[in-house]
Amino acid sequence: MAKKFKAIVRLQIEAGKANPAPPIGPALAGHGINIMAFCKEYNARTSNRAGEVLPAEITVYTDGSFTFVLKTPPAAVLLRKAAKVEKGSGVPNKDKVGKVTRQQVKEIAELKMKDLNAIDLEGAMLQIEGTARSMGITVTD
Amino acid sequence: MNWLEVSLTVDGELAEAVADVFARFAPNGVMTEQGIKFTDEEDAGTPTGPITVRAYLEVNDQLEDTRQKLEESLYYLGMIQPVPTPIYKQIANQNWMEAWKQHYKPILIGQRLLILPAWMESPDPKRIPIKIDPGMAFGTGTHPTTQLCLELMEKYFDECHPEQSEGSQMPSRDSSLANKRLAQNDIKVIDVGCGSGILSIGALKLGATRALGVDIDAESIVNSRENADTNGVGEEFLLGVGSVQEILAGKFVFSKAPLVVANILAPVIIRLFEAGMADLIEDGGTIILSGILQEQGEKVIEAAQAKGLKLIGKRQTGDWVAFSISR
Repeated sequence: MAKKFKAIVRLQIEAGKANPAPPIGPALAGHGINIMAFCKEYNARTSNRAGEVLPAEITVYTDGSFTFVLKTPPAAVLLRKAAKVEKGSGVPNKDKVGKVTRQQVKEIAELKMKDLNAIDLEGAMLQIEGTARSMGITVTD
Repeated sequence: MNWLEVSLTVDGELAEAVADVFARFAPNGVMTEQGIKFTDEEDAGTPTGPITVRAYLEVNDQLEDTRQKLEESLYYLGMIQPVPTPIYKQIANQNWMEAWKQHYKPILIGQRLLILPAWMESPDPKRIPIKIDPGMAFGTGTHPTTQLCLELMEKYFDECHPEQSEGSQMPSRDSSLANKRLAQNDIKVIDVGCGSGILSIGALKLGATRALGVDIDAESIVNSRENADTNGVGEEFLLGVGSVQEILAGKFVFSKAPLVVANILAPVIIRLFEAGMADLIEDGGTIILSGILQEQGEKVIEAAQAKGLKLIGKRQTGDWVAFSISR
């Protein structure tokens, strides 16, 4: 019988900087996961990508074991990079902080396609455009 | 330092936008967690349904200001898509490196073994404890390949000494020789690619008299030595850097054993058969192989059969399989 999932935990943290402080400590402690083992492995696998936000998706099994895979950077991070802005708008419906082209949205959607639950590239682009809107980043043709 | 946990449960599409807002105010990072749905008892589970996004704000002089800014950002995000009200919870600072241990549960293997960390007392004195600190690598007892290998080893030793296992059947042709060996106190084990040493430690605790563990990684030898000492089997556990060739060349105390174990990946197992791994098994002996994905199983069996060996047992968990093969 297949090992059963207990939880899927995703940590959005900076490459090479995992440590036992929140959010990692409280996120993993409750599942009985060896926090230092995770931090050591994550940092080893991401140390060559310092400065990037690299999410780790951790599968926790009912017997206490776990595995994790690295995911593509969050869409918000990629959009900020594409729009060359430091952060999203605090008032996204009014104050626009930057612009990205539809081509840039397409490139981000292609990069993130495997991590999104979109059925096709069109659907993935719609999700990325939604994230852009929520950050006050305008999508132009 | 104490923390204020802020959480929001939203649908999948909104989760990333909420995580981005949280990330602006919680520079250490953000976590998300999704529920699991099972279609039937055999189903491993599929993440589904709403996603809870959590972040942790430091409790300091700026907390109220930070909280207000965060709520403002969520309010504006809510003007694009409805966002529920965030939930706050005070989190006292603690030693997170130790906190996870309170939630750790020992792992039951087969009918007689129990893997538990060095700091924990055994909750089941009837089971044989193997003390290994948990991690995520092969060989800490949490990986299916190690568990499968230990299960097959337990079966091997049960056949050697059936009175130790309640309700076990009198074994097949292989057991008479194994039984005789145990009575003669002569069960040696060779552990190829010993890693943490968990398999040799398990074998020694199940009744083996001596174990030889080899690994091409010197750090594994150090780790195995520590684990052997923790488990009180340091004297019986011989260790050295090397592989099949070094054992066959007589570099170690013995070069054949009635039980050989190898929990390595399938392509490596196949290469090791080419390098003479079958010659490590005494006549009538057994090799237990693990670290094999289901789709690789056939090739491993073919490699063993090409050396005149015969499949006598199989265990499977998920995609992983392990084999008992006799000479």
